[in-house]
Amino acid sequence: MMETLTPTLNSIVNDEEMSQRAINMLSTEDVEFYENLKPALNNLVKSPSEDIVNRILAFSKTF
Amino acid sequence: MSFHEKTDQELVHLYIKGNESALSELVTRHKSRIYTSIYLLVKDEFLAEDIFQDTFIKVIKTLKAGKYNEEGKFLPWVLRIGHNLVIDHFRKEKRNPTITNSDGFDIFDVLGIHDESMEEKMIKQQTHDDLKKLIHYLPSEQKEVLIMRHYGDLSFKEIADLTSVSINTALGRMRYALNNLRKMMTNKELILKAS
Repeated sequence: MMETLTPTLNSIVNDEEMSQRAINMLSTEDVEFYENLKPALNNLVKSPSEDIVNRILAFSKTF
Repeated sequence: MSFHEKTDQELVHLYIKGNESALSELVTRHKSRIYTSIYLLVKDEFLAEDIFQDTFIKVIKTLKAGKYNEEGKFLPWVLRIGHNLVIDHFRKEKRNPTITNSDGFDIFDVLGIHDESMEEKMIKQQTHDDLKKLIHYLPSEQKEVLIMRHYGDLSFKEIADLTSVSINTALGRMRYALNNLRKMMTNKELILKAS
């Protein structure tokens, strides 16, 4: 299953107080385009290798 | 309460008190967002992994030294460290230009798409590659805002703070990024397809 990184599809901003600003600056066309773009952007998500993660955790234990 | 249910802030507190598993949960929870944000800026998997590792080494050192500012949220703070390391890298590159390698070949990209037909695989891969290229064509400040907003899930206020610009400027950059992407996609006749 594809991971969705931006669960709130109705708004382009997180902070409530910023929503109005965003709506004022981004046209309906911009918002619709971004909504359509999100799945494609989510497809670009990558993860670091397990080896790197393990190295980080090992470093922490020795630091 | 399991680690999965704890907030970032609770995990940070546990880690500072010596619970190493709390760090493991934080890394697992945010690794994709942080790594993708770095990768899309530097365009090289191996370099992105190095910067990702250096980012967390700084995080670990800061947390264990008791210098973490609890007022800030964990993810924006880590993204800020990663972002600064990317800037440092490009500054060094400018001083000592080198021929860089292209992306590392990732066998899992190939192995992961075994249920599709060859044609579907090719179309999906082509769209994936095209979109990645178009994002890379964006001016760096627009690319940064798009990446931080989408992959970092940061608010525009957090992006504005992180990039030292006003909120209106951050929003304006997002707008230009979307407009530029739309124009480029129209010119290239690239069709978005969720999968």
